[in-house]
Amino acid sequence: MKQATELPLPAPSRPEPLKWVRENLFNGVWNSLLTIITLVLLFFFLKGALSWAFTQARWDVIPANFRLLMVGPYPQESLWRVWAGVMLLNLLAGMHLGNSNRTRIPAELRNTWLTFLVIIAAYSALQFSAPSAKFLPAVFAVLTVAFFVGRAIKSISTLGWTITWVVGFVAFLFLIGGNLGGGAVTTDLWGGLLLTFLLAVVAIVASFPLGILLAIGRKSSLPIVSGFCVVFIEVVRGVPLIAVLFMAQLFLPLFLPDVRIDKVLRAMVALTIFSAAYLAEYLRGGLQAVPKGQDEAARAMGLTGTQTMILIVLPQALRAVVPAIVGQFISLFKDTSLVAIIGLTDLLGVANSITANSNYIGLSKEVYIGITLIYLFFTIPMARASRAVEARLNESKR
Amino acid sequence: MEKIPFYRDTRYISILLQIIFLVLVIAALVILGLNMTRSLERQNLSFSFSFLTGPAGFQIAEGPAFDPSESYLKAFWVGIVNTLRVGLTGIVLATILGFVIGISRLSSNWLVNRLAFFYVEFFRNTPLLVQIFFFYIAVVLQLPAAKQGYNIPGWFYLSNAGMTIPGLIPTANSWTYVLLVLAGVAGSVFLARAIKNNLVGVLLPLVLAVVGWLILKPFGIDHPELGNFRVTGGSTLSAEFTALLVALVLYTSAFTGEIVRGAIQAIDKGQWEASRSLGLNYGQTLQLIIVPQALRILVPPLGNQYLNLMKNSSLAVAIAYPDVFNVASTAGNQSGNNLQAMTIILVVYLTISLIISMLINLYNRSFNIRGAR
Repeated sequence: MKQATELPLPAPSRPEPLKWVRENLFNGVWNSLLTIITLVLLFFFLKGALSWAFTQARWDVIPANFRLLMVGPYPQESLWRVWAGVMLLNLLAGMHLGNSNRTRIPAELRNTWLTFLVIIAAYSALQFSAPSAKFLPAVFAVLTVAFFVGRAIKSISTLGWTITWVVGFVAFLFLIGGNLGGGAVTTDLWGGLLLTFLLAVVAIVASFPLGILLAIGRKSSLPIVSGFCVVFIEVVRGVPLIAVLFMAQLFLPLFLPDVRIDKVLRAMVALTIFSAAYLAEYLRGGLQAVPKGQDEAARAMGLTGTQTMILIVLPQALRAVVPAIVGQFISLFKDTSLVAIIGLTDLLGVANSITANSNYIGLSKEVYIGITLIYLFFTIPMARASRAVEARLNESKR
Repeated sequence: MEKIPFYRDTRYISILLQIIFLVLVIAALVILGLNMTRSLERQNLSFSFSFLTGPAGFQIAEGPAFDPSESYLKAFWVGIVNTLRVGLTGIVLATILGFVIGISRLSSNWLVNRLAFFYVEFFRNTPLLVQIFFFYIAVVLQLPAAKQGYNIPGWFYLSNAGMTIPGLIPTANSWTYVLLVLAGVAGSVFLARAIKNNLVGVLLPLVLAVVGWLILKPFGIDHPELGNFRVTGGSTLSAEFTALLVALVLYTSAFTGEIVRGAIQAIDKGQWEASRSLGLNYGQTLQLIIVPQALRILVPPLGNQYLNLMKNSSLAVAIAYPDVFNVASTAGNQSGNNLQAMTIILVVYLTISLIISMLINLYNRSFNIRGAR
């Protein structure tokens, strides 16, 4: 930004490869040495890793267990319900995406779209006998059609979308778990990536209001309220997540002996409480970043305390901590893997059961690398989005 | 003038609100507590810590020697020692690796820079627990047995039984040596302050330590040797410890690397230029201007990472490394005192968290800008 006020920069020219190498890898004795040493180490590492990956590794363990990794012990004959649920969510996502991009389609979105289309076409051609090869193109078609429907209808407010999503998500839960004639699919049959996703989404959504309440409570001028919030936040943040999960497993049934709470719900409660404490701490920073004048101006305009908080202070505070919140979502998504320790069959739980299976002895490397890639498939875009948001916020500051 | 009625006076309202809040919280706690005692009675359990003095009755394979006939209290102690063992080693190694990664991320060398970037992205965006399982089940347990393992004879053995490194045998001079080094450190800190040269404060204890070692020979070195079936001598780090440590260090160093990079980048270029124009040389600039400012930015988030590492070491329970969490849950399950075991876990981790944040705050204070909040 500082250079902008100085001389105009020359038009960027295509770098010559040799010059580029000299400038970026061999500028000086020390750097040349570093490059050579790194290259040698990298060569030996890649040689070992690639020769293992292409000659020794037996990747067929992943496709053989793909259904298990995706949905866990979910009954095969009810799988259409998961697909229907995915279609419902894609319908909403497509409409929302189209509705918020009513004027033009960003190039980045179009490229992602085309890439998906190619991947799905190739996949369907290769596996045309598998049921997913019929459902997957259908899901993509729903997404695309919904996008254009969303573009055609008139703009819907954020509140409207929030309500739609909540209703849609409840419908999704009913679709995969509810009683649809053939009997309910109980939560102990939910598993794999499906369970990982459900845990993450429920904890993220539920921890949001709780975290906001805790953050406001902590800043409250009422000493008893703020004291309670401080103790709650600090205790939850001071102990490991696995302790919170174990506590929910042990304490909830003791505290509420007349209600039967299933294991998945208990895990959701624990993840929500844990996430809310962290969220409250980020939000506290955001609340502190809102200038006091905003508060005073709102009060001078005649807004009440509650109105000031909801309409003026909170939106600004949330905006300031968006990158931190996205970071929190990423770590929550990763942390759902801890439920494998308390015996749920999430993605990691399924992976553990595969490596323990006598049919797949010695294939643990392949299985764990496989699920690592699945986790990365979701966390890397989130991390990129977080960086983009951060860059944009910094830009507006300057 | 008419008085404000009490129900619209904020002073009364705030007191009333707090009383209502307090009553609600206490009511909730009482209901939960009553439910809990009722459930415990139904299961014929009581909430007391008297079980702690009874014999534990289970083995702990790692850490200070433990016999099943010793008390639960001793078992918890062994667990705490094991947590600190893996936690503190992890903190030291993750800091070193994190600094290397963070500085590499700023390197002008494209290759080094990119590699560090991929390292950070990879380890930050995958679950730690998956990494722990990977290093335990897929790497360490799949290593060949001791005979065919990776060896540097006499020094280092890596096999599916874990890692063996040379151990230290104390001799008559051990205590003298330790005291000498401690005295040396204290003395050189004073000397460094007096002559205003931090380099002396770092180098002098090092020289003292090396020279003292050569003269006193304070410790014998116990070289591990390969026997018929297993490695004898040296200190053996179990397969669980090795896997847990590797995963914790790699994971935490990725976060530490980003913190280090951020702290160095946050220092304005003008600081370098201004200090050079004042006539300070490179070393002085680094020592007096750059490092103190970088540390001020660096220390609080670094402290958070240390806290996280300590808490994350509780994932040891997944691969049965006997840390405090694992020992406590075993003890709780075995004696039916799950609640008490959980309480002990909470107290231990809260204490560790408190001590670390206290040390960080203490350290941080010495770097704060005078007069700033």
